[in-house]
Formats: sequence, C-alpha cells, structure tokens
Amino acid sequence: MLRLREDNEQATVEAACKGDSGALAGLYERYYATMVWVAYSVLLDRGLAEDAAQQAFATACAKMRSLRQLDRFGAWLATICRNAAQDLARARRRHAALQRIAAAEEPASSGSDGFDRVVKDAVDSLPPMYREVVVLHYYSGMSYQQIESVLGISGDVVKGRLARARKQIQVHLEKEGFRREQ
Amino acid sequence: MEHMYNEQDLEQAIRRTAPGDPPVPDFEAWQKRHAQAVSSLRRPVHKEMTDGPSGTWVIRFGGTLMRKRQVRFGAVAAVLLIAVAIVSLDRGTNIAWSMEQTIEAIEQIKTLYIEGTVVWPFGPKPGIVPFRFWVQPPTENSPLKMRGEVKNHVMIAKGDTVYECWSDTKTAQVQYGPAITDLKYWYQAAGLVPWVIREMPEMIQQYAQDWKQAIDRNPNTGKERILATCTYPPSNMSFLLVIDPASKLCYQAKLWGNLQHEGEPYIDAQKFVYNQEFPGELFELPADMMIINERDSKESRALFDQGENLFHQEKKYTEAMAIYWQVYDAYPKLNVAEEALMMIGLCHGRLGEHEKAINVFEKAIREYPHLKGWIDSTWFYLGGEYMDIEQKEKALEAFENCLKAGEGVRDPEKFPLKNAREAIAKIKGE
Repeated sequence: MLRLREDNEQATVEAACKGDSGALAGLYERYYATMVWVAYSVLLDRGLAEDAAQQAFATACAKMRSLRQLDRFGAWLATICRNAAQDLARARRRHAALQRIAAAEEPASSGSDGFDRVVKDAVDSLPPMYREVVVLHYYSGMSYQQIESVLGISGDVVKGRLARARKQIQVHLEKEGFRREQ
Repeated sequence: MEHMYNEQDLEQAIRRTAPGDPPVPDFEAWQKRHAQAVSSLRRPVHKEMTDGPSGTWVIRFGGTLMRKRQVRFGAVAAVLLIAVAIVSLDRGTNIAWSMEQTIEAIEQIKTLYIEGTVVWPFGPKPGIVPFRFWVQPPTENSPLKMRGEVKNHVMIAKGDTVYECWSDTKTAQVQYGPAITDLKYWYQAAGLVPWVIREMPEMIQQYAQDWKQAIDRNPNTGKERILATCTYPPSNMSFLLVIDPASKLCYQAKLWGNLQHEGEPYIDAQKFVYNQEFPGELFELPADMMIINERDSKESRALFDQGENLFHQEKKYTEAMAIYWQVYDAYPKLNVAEEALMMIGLCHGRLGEHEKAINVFEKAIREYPHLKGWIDSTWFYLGGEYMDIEQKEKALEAFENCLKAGEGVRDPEKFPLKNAREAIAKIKGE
C-alpha cells in the first residue's frame, strides 16, 4: 500500500515537473499543512508560517526540474520550507521577539494550574530541530513513519529527537514545579 | 507546592498548545499569488541558455578557468567546449568538413568521456596528473550532468547542483545554483557545452587567431586525420586539435599556456569516447561522503564549543550532554558528530553512568568507522569504561583496537596510543 502511494507520488511529481497543474495542485493539497507546521517550528508565528509555506511551494516550482530523487519530494520541500522560514525570520529581524509575540497573541487554554502555559513555554523554547518533530507529531498528528518520510531522516532519529524533546520539556516543567508521576 | 502530571496529561497539553485550526490549503489562491512560479514549470528546459553569453565572455571564461584551483576540471570542460566547437570553423582552406556537418555531429552526441593529463600546480607536489571527465547533455527530463576526477578531487555538476568531493578524506561540499560562488565557473562550464548553444562555433570563429589546419596520416594507425591549431592572445593560450574526418569530431586535444604551442600542455586530452552508456550513480554524491559545507561547519562548531565550555570549564556534564546531542542530531553527516558522541560518552563516564557511556562509545564506533578523527580515542575511552566495570577482556580488546585505529594516523608516543599500550601492559602484567 505504501509502495503504491510512493509510486503515485513519484508520478505526480514527474507530472508536476512537466507543468501539469492538476499534479501540482495534488502536491499542494498533500503537503501544505505539513509545510506550515515545519515553518511554524522555526518561526513560532502561525501567519508567518503560512507565508513561508506558500513561498516554499513557489521556490519548489522554480527548482523542481533539478530535483534529483523524485521519491524524496517531501524531504526536499521541507528543506526549502525550513530555509524560507529562516529567511523570513532573519529578514524581518523578529526572531528574538517571536516567542513573546506568539505567547501574547495566543494564550494557551487554561489548565487549572497553568500547566498548559508552562508546556507551551517548554515547547517554544526547544531547539528548532526538536520542536519540529514535536510540532509534526502532536500538532499535525503525523506518525513516526510519516515524519521520517517528510523530513528524510530515519525512524530512529525521529524517535531519538522526540524522546530528547520530551526529556527537555520534562526538565522545564520540573523547574516550574511540575513533577511527572513515576 | 509541587503539581503532578502523567504522560497522557503532557501529550494532551502539548496538543492543546497548537496555534489555531489545522492549516487548510487553497491552491487556487496560491496559484494566483504565485502565477510566475507556476508558469516557470511550463517553460522549455534550458530556455535561459538560448540567448547565450557574448563571444568575448566565452573566451575570457576559458582563461579564468586556468587560474582557479577548484575549477581546473572546468578547464577540461573548456577544452571540450573549444575542441568540439572549433573544428566546425569553416576557414575556406579545407573543405574536409563544414560547420553544418559538425553541428549535426555535435547534436548526435549522447555522452562524451575524455581522459588525459592536466598540469596540477596546487598542493605540496605540483605536477602532471591524469584526469577523467564525463559529460551527459540535457534531455527533456534530465539536466546536463558532468563529472571530473583529478587526483583525490572529484567534481560533479548536475543541473544547478555541484558536488566537490575529496576521496581521501571522504568529505564533500554541496552547493546549489544560487549559492554557487567559487564554483561558478565550473557551473557555467556545465551550461556552455556546445550542444546547448548552436551559436558557439561562430563565436569561436570570431575570436580565435592564427588558425592553421592540415591533413596528414596518423603514424601509428595510418589513418587520415585533420590537425588544427589556433591561439587566443588575450588569455595567452594556444590549442591543437586532432579531428576524425569521417565523424567530424575531435578525438585528441591539447591546450598550452603560451601562444607558441611549446612545453608541456596545460591539458593533454588523449582519449575521447562518444555515446558510451554511463551508470546513473556516476553523477550522484557518493554514499560514503560526509558533507562539510562551510556554513554548517561553522555553526556546528559554535554549538559544539558551547558543550565544550560546559564540560571543561563549568563541569556541568548533564547540560553539556544535551548540547552534544544537539550537535549529533543536527549534523549527523559532519565529522563533529563523531566527536560529539565521544564527548557524550565521556559525560556519562563522569556521571558514573558506565553502561550508558559504553553504549554511546560503541554507537560512535559503529556509525563512524571510516573517520580518522576521534575513533582511536573513542576506543581508548571505551576500554577505560570496561576497566571501570571490571571487564578486562573487553577492555583489552578496546585498547588493542585503539592501537589499530591510530596506526599511521597518530603519534605513537602521544595520547591515546601511548596510554593504550600502557593499559594493555598493565592488564597483561596482572
């Protein structure tokens, strides 16, 4: 089944390379949400993340003919998207302020003891590469295998990054007075 | 007061922190906003080359190639360029071939392989060394591909991507179109081969000087051949081309760094093979190469140094370990990842976590067996950990592996080889 999906995707990418707008629309539908979350993990701003994802698709169109491995379209697009997000962050010189803006605009839904707020702080303060897998897994609901495919990294690396991200979140929570039940 | 939570609470809380609703794609709106990008997919391949550069630029390009270390391969490309193009010059003194015939022949070329020698003035031992060069022209579905090999240096250009690899250290730099700077001449060479630009022969005709040509017989084979020579004074270069009258294509070429065709040629292309089938992996980044892009290298080292500070100055091993893991996770293909794993093992060791230290040292050895940076030290530290848990046989094996890994790489009288020998002696003496 998975093989079939990969074959279909390769054919879709190949058709898009030749200018088939239906195929391009298919890729856009399939990857847009994931790219928004990839960009969000860099920018911590939902609006900017949507801009970056859209820019990434535009850049991908311009470069699609140089794509070497059609079966790695997702990973290739994610790299472009991450770069677009980083460019956006640098260009607007808002990187340092992003976390504060995001926190001010989007207060976490209230847990009775501020647990959600502290969890959000912990997620936002993760290094981007850890935050990326957390965002894709928890916000986007992607499985390890899907993340592996999109980011072009092995399943073990995905698991390792998620485990270390959780560990860092737990350390953050502990400093704020939240202890995990054994 | 301390609050308790469980794994499920945490996972649910993380999900609740997602900002806004799930993103919804709107292709129509995006297409309107990025109409230009979408239309770029419908343009014919290599349309940007149809305008072509000016003739002066083409010739100047050849001269520039000779002065660039990274692109001496490109000089071979220039020979190819000039050799194949120049034979089509119709000087009127000989009608053995005509421009139209050669253009037609050029357009039939599916692949080209050249080998010969090149003057390599770089490094501790300048000299004349062999080169090999492969070219595959673009098709509707495949970009132009080129590969050159000189000594330990491999260059691969494919579409707008260039790999520069060093086979001895198994390292590579990767650059993409917009980022290509030092390699731009190589990249431009990739775009200049004559089947891309039909106007090239006319350009060469305009700028080459002292054109001479003659027909004789090859003393070895007795077959008729065309010899053509010319010069290009602004770049102080001269050329000799040997052409097959039957195919109208060049099969030998020489390029000198003077106008007199004197001394050792810069490039002596002794063999041209047309239309050979090339394996696809010829133009791929070799699987055993570690990518060491300058930017990544600086960033990874800066991050690694944070870990070093925590480890050596502040003695905060848990915090240092977190940084080293970040280095490993972010740059698994850089050499620094191997060093980071070794440091993580050392952190565990300092914290008394011997089993964890052993696991990480073994991971480093398993994942980076080909690297010569820290593997011998890692074997040494692994031996030390086995000593700490009283597993002397395994410790002995690790120390012996340290000696093997460091042989010919490290000074035998310094760490870790000297220490490994002492440790072995101590174990065997007991």
